Amino acid sequence: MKLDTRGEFAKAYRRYAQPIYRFMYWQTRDPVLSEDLTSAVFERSWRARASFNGGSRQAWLYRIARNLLTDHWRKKKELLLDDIPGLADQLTAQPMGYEAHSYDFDNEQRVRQLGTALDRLPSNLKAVVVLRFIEELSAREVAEILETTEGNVRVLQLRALRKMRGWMEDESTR
Amino acid sequence: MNRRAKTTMERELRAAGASSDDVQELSRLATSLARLKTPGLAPGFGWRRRLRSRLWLAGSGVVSGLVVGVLLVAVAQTSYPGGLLYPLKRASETVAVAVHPDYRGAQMMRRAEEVRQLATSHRDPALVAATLQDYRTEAVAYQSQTQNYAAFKYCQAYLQQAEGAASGSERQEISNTLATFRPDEGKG
Repeated sequence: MKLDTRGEFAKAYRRYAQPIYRFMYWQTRDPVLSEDLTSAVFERSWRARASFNGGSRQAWLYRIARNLLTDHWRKKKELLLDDIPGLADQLTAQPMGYEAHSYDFDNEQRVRQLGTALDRLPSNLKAVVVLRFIEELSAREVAEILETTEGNVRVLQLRALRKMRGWMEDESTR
Repeated sequence: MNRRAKTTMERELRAAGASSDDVQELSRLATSLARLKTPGLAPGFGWRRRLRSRLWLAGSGVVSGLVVGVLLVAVAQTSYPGGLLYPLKRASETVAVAVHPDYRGAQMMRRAEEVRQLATSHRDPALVAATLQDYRTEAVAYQSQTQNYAAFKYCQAYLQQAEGAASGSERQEISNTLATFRPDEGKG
């Protein structure tokens, strides 16, 4: 189905604005920037709506989101982490949105480790983890978004989980 | 993550080469990920963003307007009667006098200086006459307000220079004005 009418586009916005925002949030960890990027995704997709030739709206929107993120990182590339005062502290502190479900210390610590490990993943693996385990999309849907095969998604998710487990174990034994 | 999704994931992990122990551990890890809390888009996110960008635009407009305004007023202070920015100079003086009545003396001296400038550069006699009239108005107002005759002395010097450069009726008018507002040495 096409996306060329306001009604259809509004429907797609209502359905995918939140998931796209969450995807942006886990990639950037900045709620305000994520809002701006989410907004930019829908602005860009509205302008490019004529190029949508049916298929999965979800995959199309996520692909636009990934392209925007790539553009964003490219622009930011020249900024060294050390140049941003306090960023290192922010990255090691408990991030926003990681509130534990209870005040159980072990659980809280695990949630913090999980967030830190997720942050350390390279962008492509992080995308797989966010889409597959946080957004709970199927391997087929993730493959369509990332324009790869289901088999590759399975391999990437295994690789990402192993890396995260390794980092979390290292941190626990420290 | 529901049981079916978990089973599917474990099957995928096995298919990708994970051992049984690996699958158990990684499955627990993946399940924890599904429980991570993500902040949601706040309600009204669209209009808040639009409002933010409009406020930013309006703010930039106001700041740019202020900067341009201040620059224009500053440049206008060097203008003379007949100049494009001269009305702005007069308007800024009106504001200055309203805020600080003592500024009237400076305003009077400015008119005298303008008369000198116009007369010595032989500008349109009508413009000189109008500025001289403005000077007289300011001088009357100032005279009723203060006993500071030093300001009149200052104006006298300007008007004498103007008188020297003028001729005919223009010169006569400047002479009459000089005679009307003669500084009183005894009171200064």
